[in-house]
Amino acid sequence: MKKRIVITGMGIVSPLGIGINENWERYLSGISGIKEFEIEGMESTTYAGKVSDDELETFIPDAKKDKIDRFTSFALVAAKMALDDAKINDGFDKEKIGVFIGSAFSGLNIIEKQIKILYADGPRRIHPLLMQNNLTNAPSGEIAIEFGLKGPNIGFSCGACSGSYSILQAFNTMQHHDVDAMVAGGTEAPLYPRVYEELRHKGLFHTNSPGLTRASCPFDIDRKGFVLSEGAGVVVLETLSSAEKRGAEVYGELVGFGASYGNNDYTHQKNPGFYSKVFCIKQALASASIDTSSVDYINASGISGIQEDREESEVIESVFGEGIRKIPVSSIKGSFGCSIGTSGAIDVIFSLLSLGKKILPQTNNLENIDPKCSSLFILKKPDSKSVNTILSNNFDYAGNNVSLVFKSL
Amino acid sequence: METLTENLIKERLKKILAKELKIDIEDITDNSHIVDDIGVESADMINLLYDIETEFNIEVSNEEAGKNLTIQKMANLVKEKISIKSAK
Amino acid sequence: MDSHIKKNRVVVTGLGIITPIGIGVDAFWESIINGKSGISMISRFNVEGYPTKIAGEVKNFSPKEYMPEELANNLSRYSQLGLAAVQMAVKDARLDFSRVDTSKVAVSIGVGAETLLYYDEKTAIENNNYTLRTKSPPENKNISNVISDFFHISGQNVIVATACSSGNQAIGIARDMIKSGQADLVLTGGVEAPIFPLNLAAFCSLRIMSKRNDQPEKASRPFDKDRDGFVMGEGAGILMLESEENACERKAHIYGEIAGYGATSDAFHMTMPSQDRMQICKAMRLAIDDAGLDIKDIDYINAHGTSTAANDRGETKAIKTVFGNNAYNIPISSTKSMTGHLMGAAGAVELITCILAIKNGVLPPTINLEHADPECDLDYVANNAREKEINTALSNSFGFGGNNSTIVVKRFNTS
Repeated sequence: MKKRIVITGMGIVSPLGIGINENWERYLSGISGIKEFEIEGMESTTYAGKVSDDELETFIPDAKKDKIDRFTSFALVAAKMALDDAKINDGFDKEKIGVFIGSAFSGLNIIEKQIKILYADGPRRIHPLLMQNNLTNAPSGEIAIEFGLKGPNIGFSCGACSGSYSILQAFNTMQHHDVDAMVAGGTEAPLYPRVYEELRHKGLFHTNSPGLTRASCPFDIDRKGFVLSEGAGVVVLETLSSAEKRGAEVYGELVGFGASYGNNDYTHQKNPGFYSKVFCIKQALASASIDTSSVDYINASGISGIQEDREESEVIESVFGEGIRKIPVSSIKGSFGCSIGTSGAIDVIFSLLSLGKKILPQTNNLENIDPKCSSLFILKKPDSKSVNTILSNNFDYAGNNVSLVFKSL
Repeated sequence: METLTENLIKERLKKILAKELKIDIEDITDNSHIVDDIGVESADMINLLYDIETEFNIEVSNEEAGKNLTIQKMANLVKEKISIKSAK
Repeated sequence: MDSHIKKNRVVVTGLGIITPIGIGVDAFWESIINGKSGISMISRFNVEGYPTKIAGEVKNFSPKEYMPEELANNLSRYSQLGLAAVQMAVKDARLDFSRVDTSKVAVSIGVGAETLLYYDEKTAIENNNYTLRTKSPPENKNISNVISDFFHISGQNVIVATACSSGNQAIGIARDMIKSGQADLVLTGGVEAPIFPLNLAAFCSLRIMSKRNDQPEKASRPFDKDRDGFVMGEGAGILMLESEENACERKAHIYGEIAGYGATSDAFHMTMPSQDRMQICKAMRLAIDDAGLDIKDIDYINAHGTSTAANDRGETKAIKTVFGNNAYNIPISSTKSMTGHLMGAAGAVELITCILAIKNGVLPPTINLEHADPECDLDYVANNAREKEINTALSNSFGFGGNNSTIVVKRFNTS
């Protein structure tokens, strides 16, 4: 008998701000966290979603300042918020809470710094904190240490699906091990020249368009590629029985999911990217024991990628058929940008907030829908609507796909 | 090359410890024991030794550190290593 | 009738391995039973100024034997090793992908420090400080994706990163995928190519590496009183995991059952293990319980055994706590004495070692055990391999982050 898994706490650190309410309010009022920045080591200014250092500073525990890398600090702050939100206190058996946090690029900040030191000053000047700070499991490890969480502990690296895969695997772990809760999500601090260089090389990436202040504009005809951003999204997953026993408030239930991989670079297979995404959504619905008519709202991946948004529209249309005109769809990347390993987790958080607040968020920065995406009913304004069942897509430009289905309890 | 006096060395050591542990430099005396008084845990000793090695451009092994765990003793060790270095 | 018996165990049907002591299962096992060391002076970059100048390098590995040159050129070293080992496992499993639902084939690979190692390799090449190749791949392709591309499979793809226990944890996650019904087959295990300038410097800075540069083959000496730290090594260990039902349907050869998996976190410190070792003990207990076994049913332990005082003593104490007096009757070995510490690959290579020990009825030795640390007084199968029929084995892996992972593997019985 499968254990029912619910979400009892959430925390966000993002270019929109730190905290669930800040992020929700600012998003709904149309604010975008994407601005032009000067990024150290890059020649020209570029669009990015950057977390406010001043604001972040006030949240990092004093003892940890300067001892952890940037992507870990995001996760630590978001995890604390999620645990406080879930009211996980000393009464909770900490041996029964684990931590799964995903990140694609991990500790780039300290890696970059130490590479420079190695080639300038030699191997003996490498800092002893490099190893523990750069690791993909540094966030999960530091969260466990800070809050005494002794359950299973993993860092997942799955590209832009790192956060959503952490949530998926946390669900699996809770089914087969004696674990009552899991802190799960994603974190990413990728705003470095090397990352920009690599992504630009792939040709998927937003190039500076001087006239386009709405740099990240999902499904918009003017979109030029996704915009890189940073931050962390963390949730507390809990068994329903544990949540009920302690009277915890529940945001919603994770009732099903699908996952697949399909890479369009492998051209001798016909359209693997398309079919793997269709499969992913269908698998999610089947695992939730629902059909397309039960879905009330789709939180799209919508990364503002030229190919990607079009493909996702075609995929959604293929799965939902004619019924798609009735199902509101939106993407929140217009304000958040694409924070790679964090993106799926932030999408999950907004999906769950929609359930509780009975408002479906609009697609910020969308002005003119690309005709190739126009079969979808994409929200340009918030929609006050009570919904029951939400599908959240997280499609990675590198081919990983995760779709999660949430229901109100 | 500036000759580092014992007092200067002690000041710099205290500064390193104050920064590393986020404590007041006034709370560190010459006889303060790095582990027992100041509270550096064995887990963080490696970071501390790295800071000392970088500050004074010397090498300090775990064994040497273990035998010189007060500010005074550590300063003596540092001074000795610096003079050995400049003698070369 | 068979159809009434639920065939829901998770079994191993293919193996692939690349280590400093041999490429391929046969070569690896031959070295193991002969107590061969794979440690030598680092040959591929300039080690002047490094306190530790030795490592376990894989010898005679030619990526082009396993993949088109263009693909090899686009992969970092750890991905080359990983993809090659996966091919060995697929071949060993006699799996025909055209007859398989590829949406139910998943990939779960453990890698400890993929981002650092990718940039380390890249910058070493840029600084003319690496002899194995002259151009670095343009991006750090996710190795699970690389494997899926190669075999045209489309199930779940994850990299499991838990530092030195990644290989072990990845296998546990793979098992949970199959138990959840989300995959019928998983290509799993661990890989690591840590022998690069920044990574070596990073470990040296932690003061936990052996400096026995004049005697490389004697440097990795778990449980020995004259050890002075661990030695790193590179490699890949890949297992094909399958649902029992799937394996029986295609009449696959079954090596053994992944019977139990236990994972905990010290929640204490990122690089130092917790003094009370309680969570290490718990990981072992959870794995034994999960396997439906009792402590007296464990025939052999493959220790994490890194050759550091902290680990060797802590793990010994933990084994005594879990097994009581029975700890003295269980043979224990650390194959890191021969291969070095393979980091993200260690857990997987060591689990393969357990499987081969069960299959062949021989226990691998802990070499270089000349004078045991007085605090390490158990039976570590010192120096010589030992013939012994065993049915179960327990494999420990502990990683930075206070990460503890234990897997119990059982001989597969059809009843």
